Amino acid sequence: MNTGITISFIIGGLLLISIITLNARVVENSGEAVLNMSAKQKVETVSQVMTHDFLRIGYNTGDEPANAIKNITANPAGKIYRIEFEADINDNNTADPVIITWEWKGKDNTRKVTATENDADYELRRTITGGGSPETYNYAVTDFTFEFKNENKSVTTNPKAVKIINVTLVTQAPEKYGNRNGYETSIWQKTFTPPNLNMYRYN
Amino acid sequence: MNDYSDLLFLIGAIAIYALLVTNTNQTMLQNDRMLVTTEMEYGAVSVAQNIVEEARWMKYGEISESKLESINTNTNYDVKVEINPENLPGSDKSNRKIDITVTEKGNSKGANVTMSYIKTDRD
Repeated sequence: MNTGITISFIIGGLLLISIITLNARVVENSGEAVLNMSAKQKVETVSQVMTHDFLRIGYNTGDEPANAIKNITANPAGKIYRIEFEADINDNNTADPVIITWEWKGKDNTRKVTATENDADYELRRTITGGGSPETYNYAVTDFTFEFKNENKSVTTNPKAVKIINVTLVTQAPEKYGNRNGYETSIWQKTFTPPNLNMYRYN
Repeated sequence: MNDYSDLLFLIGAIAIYALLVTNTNQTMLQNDRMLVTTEMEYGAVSVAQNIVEEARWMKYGEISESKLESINTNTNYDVKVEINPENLPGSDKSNRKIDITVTEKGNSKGANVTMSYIKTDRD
């Protein structure tokens, strides 16, 4: 065979491989960006609902705001976190408080999310009780913690003493890209200082 | 045409291709950087909000820059708080403007969020 043609084949082949690799990387990069946005979108959804609820703790309940939080659980060893509080969560002019519960049971099999391919997705459950049957909303998240603090910023287990609520939320994309090992992940940390629990501080 | 013309074409093609690859790489890097910056900005916003929420419930006389700066426990961010007197037209109380700047630690091009809050002396 002609030497010229052989060399052309080699160079052409190298170029072709390089173009194909480049194309694959571009596709992978945009796929990753989409999955990453999906993880962030999950954070956005949960954070909006949570902010809506937590800022209204004790609002329009007809009772002392200190009694608004009914129950708290923060068990880092068992990965169980729960808060139950009373609040009027809509902005109409009538006082119609309901009981809201946010609950995370860790890697509990009964709470596993099967709709997504991601094995690490579990349900973060929000339940509204009051008038009619309880309504449940589930959010697929990967990890979640509550930390309840009193006015001196030390951790407390007494629901009446809670003034500050720290939340850490980790979400992952529902699918991973190709044969990658990990899922795109997003983290959100927030400290809530609910107005009704903290107003007395103005005294 | 001499024997080297093919070679010259090849060199030209490779040069153009190299430009394309470099460009694409740069775009992808930029994309990745954007993703990371967005993630860090989410965090920076919540750090700034935490400080505003704390400042809201502090007594007017108790507020100080160092006290507000010490609220942040997230080690990924640097927090700078500035407090200046603020003249609000029509207000008969004294007011202070609290500017909170949250920056990503160790990355001058990273997330940078500024939030302001006006604290009124209600006592």
